[in-house]
Amino acid sequence: MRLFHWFHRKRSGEIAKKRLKVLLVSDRADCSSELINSIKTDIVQVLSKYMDVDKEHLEVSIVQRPDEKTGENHPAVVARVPFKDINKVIC
Amino acid sequence: MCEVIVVTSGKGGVGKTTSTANIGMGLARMDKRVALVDTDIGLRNLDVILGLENRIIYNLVDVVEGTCRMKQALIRDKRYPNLFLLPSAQTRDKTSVSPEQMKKLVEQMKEDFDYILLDCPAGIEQGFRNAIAGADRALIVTTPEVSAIRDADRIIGLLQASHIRQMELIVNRIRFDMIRTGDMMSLEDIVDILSVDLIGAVPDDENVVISTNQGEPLVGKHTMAGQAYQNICLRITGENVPLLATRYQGGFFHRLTHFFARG
Repeated sequence: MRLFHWFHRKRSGEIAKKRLKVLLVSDRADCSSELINSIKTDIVQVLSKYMDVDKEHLEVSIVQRPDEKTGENHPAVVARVPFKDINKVIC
Repeated sequence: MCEVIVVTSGKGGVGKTTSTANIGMGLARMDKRVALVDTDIGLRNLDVILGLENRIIYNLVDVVEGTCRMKQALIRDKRYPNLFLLPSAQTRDKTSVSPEQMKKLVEQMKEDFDYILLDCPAGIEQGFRNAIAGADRALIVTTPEVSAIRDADRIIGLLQASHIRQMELIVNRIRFDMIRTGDMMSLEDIVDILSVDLIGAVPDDENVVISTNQGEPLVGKHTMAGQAYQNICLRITGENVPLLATRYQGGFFHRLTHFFARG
């Protein structure tokens, strides 16, 4: 019995590390999906002043774009915002 | 050039205030001009850890509201004349100041100090936003426990989304005996998970409780934690000090067995 406990006790640090790695992947994903949703809501709100935005087909993502001069990757928000009626665009 | 450092963690009780007090005093011992700012409005503690609780007249909120001048609120430490504390208010709450006000407050202080350390409250709400507003650099304190590391990760994410560009990790309350038996995550594990550079590792040390009881920070004294905090101060000022370097004689393994003997 003692050997059993000793063996299990030995691994709790490893267990913690594995649990954390899994946990943080989903924590970080939740954070970024919340962020994207907030950005989507704001984009719809702003652009709806000028045109009728097609909310269902709105695509927003955060991508890494290489800088033209240095080649370094920089994050960028990329949005594709289809809208419904070109005749109703307010200029 | 003044360096403004926020000491944060996310999780409460991992050693932010203790670290702020010890690192601040450690830098003052190195003849730097240091100001410690307790930004935990409503739950002030930096004063107690430093043993300065009986000398508070004005506080951070008084300065922000213009009730007093900065000089009237700053408490000069009698042990180190180049160490000052700007205490927090005990009877207000975190909405009493804004991040913009904190930023202005810190700007006002910069010409008089080499280092300003901001003790951040636990959490991710306004207290946190207030504390980071004026800072250029962050020290993230965590312990080797699942909940502390999870919260530290969230804080790191928030810091990365902020204006702060330099951040480093302090792992507090390390038990080398438990790391050896696999019952505690190692420093390598933690750095691997959080992906932030390690600036210091502070062993779990009973002397910290004693020093808090007395209101006498133990940085620089011949205790495990005291030496660890001193090393952190050296690294902050740019010296390259290996982890776990102590003044104890003997080789590396000698020092490790010394840790185990205590634990």
